Amino acid sequence: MHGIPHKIIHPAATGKPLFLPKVGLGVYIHIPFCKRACHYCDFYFSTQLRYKKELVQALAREARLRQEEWAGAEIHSLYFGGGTPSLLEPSELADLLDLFHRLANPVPEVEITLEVNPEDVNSKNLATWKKLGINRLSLGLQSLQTRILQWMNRGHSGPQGLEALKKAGEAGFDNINVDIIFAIPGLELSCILNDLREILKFQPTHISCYELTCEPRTAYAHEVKTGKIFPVEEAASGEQFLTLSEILESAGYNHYEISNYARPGFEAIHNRRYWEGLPVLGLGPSAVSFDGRMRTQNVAHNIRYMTSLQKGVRLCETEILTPSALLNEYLLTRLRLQEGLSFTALRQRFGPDAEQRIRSRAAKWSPQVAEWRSDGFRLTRQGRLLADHLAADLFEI
Amino acid sequence: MDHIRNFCIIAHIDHGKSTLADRLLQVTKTVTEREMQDQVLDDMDLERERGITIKSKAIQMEYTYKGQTYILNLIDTPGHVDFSYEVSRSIAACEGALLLVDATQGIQAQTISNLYLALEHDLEIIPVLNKMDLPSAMPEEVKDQIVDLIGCPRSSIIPASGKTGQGVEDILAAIIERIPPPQGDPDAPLQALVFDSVYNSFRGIIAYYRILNGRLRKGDKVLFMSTGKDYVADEVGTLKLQLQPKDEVSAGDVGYIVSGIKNAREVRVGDTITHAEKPCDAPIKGFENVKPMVFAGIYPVDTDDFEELRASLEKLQLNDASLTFEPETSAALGFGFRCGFLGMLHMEIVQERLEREFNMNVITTVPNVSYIAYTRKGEKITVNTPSDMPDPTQLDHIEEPFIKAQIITKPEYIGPIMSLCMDKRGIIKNQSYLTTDRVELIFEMPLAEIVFDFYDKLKSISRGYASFDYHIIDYRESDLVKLDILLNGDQVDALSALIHRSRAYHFGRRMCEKLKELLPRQQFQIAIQAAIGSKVIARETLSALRKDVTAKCYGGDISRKRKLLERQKEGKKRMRQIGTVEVPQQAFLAVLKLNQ
Ligand SMILES: Nc1nc2c(ncn2[C@@H]2O[C@H](COP(=O)(O)OP(=O)(O)OP(=O)(O)O)[C@@H](O)[C@H]2O)c(=O)[nH]1
Ligand code: SF4
Ligand SMILES: [Mg+2]
Repeated sequence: MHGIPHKIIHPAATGKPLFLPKVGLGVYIHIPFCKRACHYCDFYFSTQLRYKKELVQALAREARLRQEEWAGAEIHSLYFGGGTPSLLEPSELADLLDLFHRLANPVPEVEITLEVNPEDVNSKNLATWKKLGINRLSLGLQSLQTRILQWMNRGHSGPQGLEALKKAGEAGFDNINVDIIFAIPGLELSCILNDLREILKFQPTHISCYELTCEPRTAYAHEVKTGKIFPVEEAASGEQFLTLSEILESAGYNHYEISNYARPGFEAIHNRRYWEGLPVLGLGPSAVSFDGRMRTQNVAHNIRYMTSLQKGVRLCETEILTPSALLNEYLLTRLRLQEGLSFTALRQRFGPDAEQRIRSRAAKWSPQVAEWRSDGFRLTRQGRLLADHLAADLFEI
Repeated sequence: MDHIRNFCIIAHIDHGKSTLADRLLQVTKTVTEREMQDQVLDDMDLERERGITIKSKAIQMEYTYKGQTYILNLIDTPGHVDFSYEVSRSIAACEGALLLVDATQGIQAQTISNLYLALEHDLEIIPVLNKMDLPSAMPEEVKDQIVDLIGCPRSSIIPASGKTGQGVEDILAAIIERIPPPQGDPDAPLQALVFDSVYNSFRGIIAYYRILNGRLRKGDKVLFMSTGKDYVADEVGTLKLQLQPKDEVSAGDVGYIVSGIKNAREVRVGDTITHAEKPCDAPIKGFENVKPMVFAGIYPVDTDDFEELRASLEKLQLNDASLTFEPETSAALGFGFRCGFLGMLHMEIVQERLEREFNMNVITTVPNVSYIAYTRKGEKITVNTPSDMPDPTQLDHIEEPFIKAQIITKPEYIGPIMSLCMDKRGIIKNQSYLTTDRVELIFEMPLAEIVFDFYDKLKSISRGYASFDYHIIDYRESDLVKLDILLNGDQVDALSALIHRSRAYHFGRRMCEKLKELLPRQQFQIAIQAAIGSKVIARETLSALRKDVTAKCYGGDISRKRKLLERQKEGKKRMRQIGTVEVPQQAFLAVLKLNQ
């Protein structure tokens, strides 16, 4: 989904998928274009919009090329991410959806999400999206503070963001996610809470709250490195995380994953697949696919992606997960979820020895970080701040 | 034998021994122009990097003088105090010594101590006034000093320069004219003194010796007298820049032997080699055992490497006879060795050689000197490590080693040096002007006070114009305490230190501060305490880790993050668990970094 790998890229091996029919499949389609680069972003995208049409054709090629991988699987989710999928022309989006319906076998309640930027939200687009069968919008608000949005180099203002949220609701979208960012230098917690109050007035079904992180090779990272800006201190950022969690939970949202909140029944079906280790087929440059054992990532380069597909070849990097890697990923992702880790499930998947070892490692933790139940434990709010550290503590190497 | 001369070059550190040796090797064409480089005999990487000689090095030269060809065996020696044992062994293989004095600096502390070593062995001393090319040379003044010190005729001092080559021919002539040829009977039973050895992974152990009597031929069956073991001399020869095999090495000469010995314990410096069939009557009096001054634990980073560490130390000891070690255990670090060193530089060099030459990863613990504890029952216990300390209830008193320190400096630095020495619990014993511009100060002070940073401090307060030499005089009663470090209440034995009570508070506080920097934050807060017995004298608190979590964890993020965390965890394997606290290796070196 993001990052530009600098490793050897080779044509994908074709083979029978390992997907288990009962867990179904999620499909991710990466639209690698943005009008401008946000200063904190390290997703793969290009601002060269002139290739857009050609790229959509390449996406279709990839979908057909990998038909075998999805044939027969029940599709539970389709997610258009980016980049900026809302830059797609209605016809382009229609073509992709059309192809999807022809090739795939979606369940009736399939979740179809479109990531949209507020500046692309207008009545006409909303109507088109609705008509094409998009049933979930993910709106990149990030903040309602125009000065912050400008600093981030976003393409919309605060009021524009709020307006987009309002319009989307009016257009009949009843499952809307709002992205917001915290731990922004110079943005007070009180200010974030004000924004949140404004947003909550529209009752979005889902809110993703991401901590601003400093990713290498971004404009933000450069500012930090050259001392132009100081990242928010750990303690303050932790404080913001805890406060957001308290407030959103009291407003009726489940803090079901470290960075994600949902009203009951509205957890993101697609995103959950990543944390549950379920198969996802990723199409488009830099997209990642996972079949439960093997992970591949498409080449993160639009031109190379398109030219190779013209020759009927998909360029990607492949990683076959070892049993310990599978276990470690299981631990890493499970601890992020509200339900935490179940010893029974752990034993069933990885055997009683692994379960015992992990149990005894976790038993040393302070009660402040984990909450024990009869069949496992989950991280407390405090513990979630240490999720990576704790997962690593359980890792097997 | 009349055409052999054996000599060494001795001097204070940096007075130009190795550089002058370069010129001698050049003039005698012992090394080719292509092989030549500055201080060519300093062939260890560590020597080249630090610009000092660590090991004595023997090399044979040939020189024609007045129509006669002579064999000259030269031994270049180190100047640093920590390596004076190298000098004393070299002296045993020689009849004469070049005593170098830097013409810009004059006589310094090790000039004197090394001179005395040579005189004890009745060596013929050839005084050389070196670095004459420097504009700041003070030949007349320094000549006065030399005449005063040795009582030699002024005219016997040779002005020279290792840079320009001035005086080199005069030195060679003096070596031949003034140094007596070796005594000894080539036809008597073989008697050869081993003065050094080295481990070579292809050839086994190579021993260097000086033959006093008899001859050693290739293929001879030889006996190493102290172990009583015999071997066949697979190869013998003399020491050029490379080893030079010969059929025979005979009385008066310096050479090497390869005899397939693989076990480091079978070769001892100071041993006598003789023939198995026709042995000599008695071994040569070997070398006095050196007494290590500083002790520290050396532990393998990977606890499985204990035996390998032992083998490496044994091999290193072949080439460094002043190193001692014996096994010890630590609750924190597992199995390791308590090693004895001649000083801090020696300790540092040993640690580096273990890492470079033997690929060992080691942790070194807080160094200390050797104390003597007396119990109430009247027992006398040598304390080389804090855990040797008897229980306070059993302890009657404890004594620490005192040294006599000789410092030679310029008058303007007397003040600062005095206060430095007083601060180090020193007692001034004497102050005398060697010349109007040079003062000798004699102090008595505890050895423990000079072990750590004394030398560096001395150099910096005197801008390099102070030289320093010392030797142990006696043990004196002292108010020493064992300072323990506790992490969340658990004592870390490898961080305990023996220290004078007056220093304990400051030391304990600095240790706690340093550990706070070096320990990684963990889920809980960590109390870092310094304590004497049950009394806590310093404390720092390392706050708990607040936050370690990735915001976004989708598709490719998952494997990236997993790999990162796996790598971190791999690194943690090298940490030691003390109670609930994980301690990285660097923390055990905290004490050495207190001043940084
Ligand atoms: N100008 C000048 N510099 C010299 C002369 N001899 C040595 N030096 C310099 O003095 C420094 C020390 O020289 P070394 O030959 O390494 O001294 P050393 O006595 O062997 O030193 P240690 O073995 O460590 O005791 C080097 O920087 C040399 O270049 C000389 O005759 N003239
Ligand atoms: S619009 Fe989204 S993908 Fe594009 S630069 Fe901004 S944050 Fe990144
Ligand atoms: Mg030297």
